[in-house]
Amino acid sequence: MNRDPRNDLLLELPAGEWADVRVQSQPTGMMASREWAILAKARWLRKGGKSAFIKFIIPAARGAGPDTEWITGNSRLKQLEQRLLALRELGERIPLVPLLEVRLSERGLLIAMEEITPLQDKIERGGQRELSLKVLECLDPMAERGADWFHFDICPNNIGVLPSGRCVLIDVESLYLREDACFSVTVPAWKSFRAPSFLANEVADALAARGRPALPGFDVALAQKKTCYEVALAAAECVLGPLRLAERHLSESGLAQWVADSDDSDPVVLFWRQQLHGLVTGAQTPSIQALAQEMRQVLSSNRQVVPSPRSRQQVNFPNNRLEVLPPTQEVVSAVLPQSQMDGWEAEWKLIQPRARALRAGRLGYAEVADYKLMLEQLSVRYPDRREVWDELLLLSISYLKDPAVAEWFVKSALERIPGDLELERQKTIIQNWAAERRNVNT
Amino acid sequence: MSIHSGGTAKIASLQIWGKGYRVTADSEEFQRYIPHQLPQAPSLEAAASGLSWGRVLELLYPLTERELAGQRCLLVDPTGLIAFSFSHSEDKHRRPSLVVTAAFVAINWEEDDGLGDIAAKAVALAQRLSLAYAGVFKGNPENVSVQLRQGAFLPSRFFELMEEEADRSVDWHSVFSAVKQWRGVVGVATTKLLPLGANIVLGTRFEAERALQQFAVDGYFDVREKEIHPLSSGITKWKSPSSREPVSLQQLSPTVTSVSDLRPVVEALQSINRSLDRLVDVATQIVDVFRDKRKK
Repeated sequence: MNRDPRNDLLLELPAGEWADVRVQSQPTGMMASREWAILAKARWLRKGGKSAFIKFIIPAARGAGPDTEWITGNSRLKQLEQRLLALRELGERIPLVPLLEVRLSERGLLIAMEEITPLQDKIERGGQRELSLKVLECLDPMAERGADWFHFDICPNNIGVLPSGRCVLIDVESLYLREDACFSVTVPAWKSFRAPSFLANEVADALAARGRPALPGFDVALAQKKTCYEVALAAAECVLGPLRLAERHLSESGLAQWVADSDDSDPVVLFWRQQLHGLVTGAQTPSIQALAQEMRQVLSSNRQVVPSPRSRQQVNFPNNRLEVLPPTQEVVSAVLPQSQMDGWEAEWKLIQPRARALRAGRLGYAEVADYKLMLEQLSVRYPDRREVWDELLLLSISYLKDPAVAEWFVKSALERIPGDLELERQKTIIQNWAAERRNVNT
Repeated sequence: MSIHSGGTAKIASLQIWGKGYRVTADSEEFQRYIPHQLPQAPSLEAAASGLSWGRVLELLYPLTERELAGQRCLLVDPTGLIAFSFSHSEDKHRRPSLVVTAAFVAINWEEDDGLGDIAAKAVALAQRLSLAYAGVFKGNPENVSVQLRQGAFLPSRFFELMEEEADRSVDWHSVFSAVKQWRGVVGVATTKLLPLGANIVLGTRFEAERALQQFAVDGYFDVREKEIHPLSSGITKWKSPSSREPVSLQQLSPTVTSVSDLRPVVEALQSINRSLDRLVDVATQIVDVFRDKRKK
């Protein structure tokens, strides 16, 4: 007769230390879906009494399939226990939820942690500006805590807020410590679902280079880069609301859809919109420390890092949209000095300061209009350069927030570069957006 | 295992008593579940083992949950303090039973700062755990029985006090300031827990004098005045530092009378104070009687 693992859990928990044990009826997550673990809530009676969350991993039975053996086999559970005990020793030097108990027996691996409020729940409630900063302060992978760590899957569902307000990572099996120049992992699951496309590709390339099955040592620099993106994204969600990806990875158009309804009169919202453009396009690798520093300033002094509501009013940006002009030769000659028109690379280089200033929120209305004309000129001169169309789409979606303009540009781009799958995908999204906007207006 | 002490990192060692499980061979129907064995040397921790539990428990069964939660008992000796707490539970036949927890903390009367805080946390710990264990033992579940027998119920009976929320129902700082002034104090308790051995009542003079008929009460802690008032010669005040140095008093002024000369005056004042207290108690009772009649 099969043993009931819930009884095993009750036998495993010392009743003198754990009270009010409630097994969760519908657990979530990878392990629960395969009945690899039992999840429960309980009250820990030590240290003043604390609400706790318990994960009890059932060891793979004899004759279990390869996946089960890999995830819950005795050797992995032993490694996991040792790793978690080492992580517990580090205390607040790593941003991991406090582990109240870690114990391996023949019945299973008991992992008991302090109960948290999921960041996702807080984000859904909205208005978590202070929490956005807290996420950056608590989860900076480069912070000088004396321990380099890496978590496979940083997202609002795996970030928790303790009663003290400290943000920590849950899904404790996904957190690893650095060993020499790499992270030695027991399950190589990178989980790049939320990474921007370019970074997801980078990760995929790195994994492919390691062969199949992937080798256990993961590159520290790439791991930290991915962590920084994911932390920044989670912090942005605290302000901009939950990110619901329609695509496999976060792209510029996905970003545009996400931020389309946010309140652009709020300097904190503008701060994150501005930062996210740089992150998604890969124009900048985020420094969590720098983001936290800027965020602190925005919050404390309400300093406008992007054009202030007043200055926007004066220049009618971005609420009053620019007039859309189809690219014409007249416009081209009016904007770009002929002396500088000596090849694609030189001309592209020429507009880069404007591109950076746009992302930094330093362009006023007139300058944005000039920049748009420059790009339109380039699109006439170099109609097959994706970079120009991408920049025009970025401008129309995220800065002008005008679906009609964006639709014009994406159609023009497809006429010049027919069959481009990414442009086709963007066209569909933009058309949906335009239709929605039309419905709202009618 | 040794008991740790020092600074705020105090550690309490816990005892749990209850009914319905057969755990320790040396106990009767009301048994000590944790620990299976106590230190051999006579100590405050062993105080509960020599108790006549029947006499203690019969006063507590009729109390409501709220009344029971309001009872306090703290015994002291030169080595430490022990706080007791009781909660209602049920055995497997759904008959009422009681769960007792006792938290012992080693203290240094001379050097420890904040004895009141330590006491308040020990009381809170005992109370919190008695409530929790009342739930755990309810119905005498089998998995608890297995753990108790195998010694797996509580891997360590030592609990840190650092993060414990202090008990605020009694001003333990004042209680300990008062206790330190008297020789012969064995413990302080509300009247229902006096059978545990405390000789100072946490209550009014009226309650203390009534309790005197049943228990060895030597005084009471007056909550209003934050002082212990003796009711017998069982407790005596420690000599104050100034009285240990009579020379300095003489030096202050040749006309100052000696401390012993003032005793009759002090006693007369105390007597007046006691009479006044009695009058207040009588008046309170009369008011209560009138109030009851009006309700009827």
